[in-house]
Amino acid sequence: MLWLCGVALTAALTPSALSAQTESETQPFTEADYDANARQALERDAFPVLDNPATVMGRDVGAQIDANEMVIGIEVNGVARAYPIAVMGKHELANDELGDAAITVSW
Amino acid sequence: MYDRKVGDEVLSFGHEGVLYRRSFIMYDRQSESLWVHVSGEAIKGPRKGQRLKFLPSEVTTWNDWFTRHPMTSALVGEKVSGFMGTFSLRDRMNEFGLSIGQGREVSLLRFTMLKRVPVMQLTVAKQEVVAVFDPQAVRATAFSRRLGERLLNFETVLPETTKPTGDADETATVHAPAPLMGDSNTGSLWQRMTGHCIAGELVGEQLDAVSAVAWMGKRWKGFFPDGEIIGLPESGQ
Repeated sequence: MLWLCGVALTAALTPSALSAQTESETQPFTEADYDANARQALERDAFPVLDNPATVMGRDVGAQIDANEMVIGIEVNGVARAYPIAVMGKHELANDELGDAAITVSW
Repeated sequence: MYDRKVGDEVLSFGHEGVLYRRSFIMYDRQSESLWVHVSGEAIKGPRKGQRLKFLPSEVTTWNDWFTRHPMTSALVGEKVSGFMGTFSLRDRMNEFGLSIGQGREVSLLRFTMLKRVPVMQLTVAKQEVVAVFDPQAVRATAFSRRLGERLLNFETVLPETTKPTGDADETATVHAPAPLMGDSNTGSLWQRMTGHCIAGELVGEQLDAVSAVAWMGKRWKGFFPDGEIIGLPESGQ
């Protein structure tokens, strides 16, 4: 019964450090492969990329995001932000700042 | 998601409009180098060979995210309709999987498989990993099974259904408990989705997360043609 005792979301949810990115990995993408296979599908910036977009606090979201709507969630140094996929689908890319970090969000 | 800071410079990105291996290319406005967004590396231009630092993110429901991050902020704005607008991992679970690992040594574990085996042990890039799934939130992540010198073996622990004690005043409202798992080494109890031990000999211990991102299987195959896919796509659920 121990696990029913309100363990739900109270314990530490600290994001653990992601395993370090190794630099020695074989690079799967090459410029030659890119030149051979990439194709201009749209004009540059046909998707209106977001720069430091307006956000609201979660408690003020109200009906702007449905409870079951899918979001991309990011937490950097304890600062969290959610990017609804339906909004990101319009822009595909966001240059944002989260706390002290400058991040890029893509969908 | 990536850190936009490279050395002392903060880059900002635009959308190149180019499709490469079924995914799009971004350019940095500072040097106009071209970057593959799924790997975070510059493939062409003055910054060729440079790599952005990967930042962990997750795809989940707003409700799940907000519950776990009550101080979160959120992007609001116009939404697309159609596939993206109605996107739900719940409805399209068959098409998605959890991509575990980085670089070339990656495996895609289909959500349909995780749905059946929500705590699954596997080896990716010689690393012993436990992949976990929360069927309610349709969310998956992965942890290393190594804790110090120990290699832990995990299995699903199903929360007991609430049994009324006979006390008529006892409230019937019970919040759905967070999904759990247990290790058979010590019998300790762990929060499945956070990798945090909440009871038993290892209480307070935390598993290390490994790089794991939800991917659409079709797109993933374009990038990792030799990558291992675990589980079969299923037509029904």
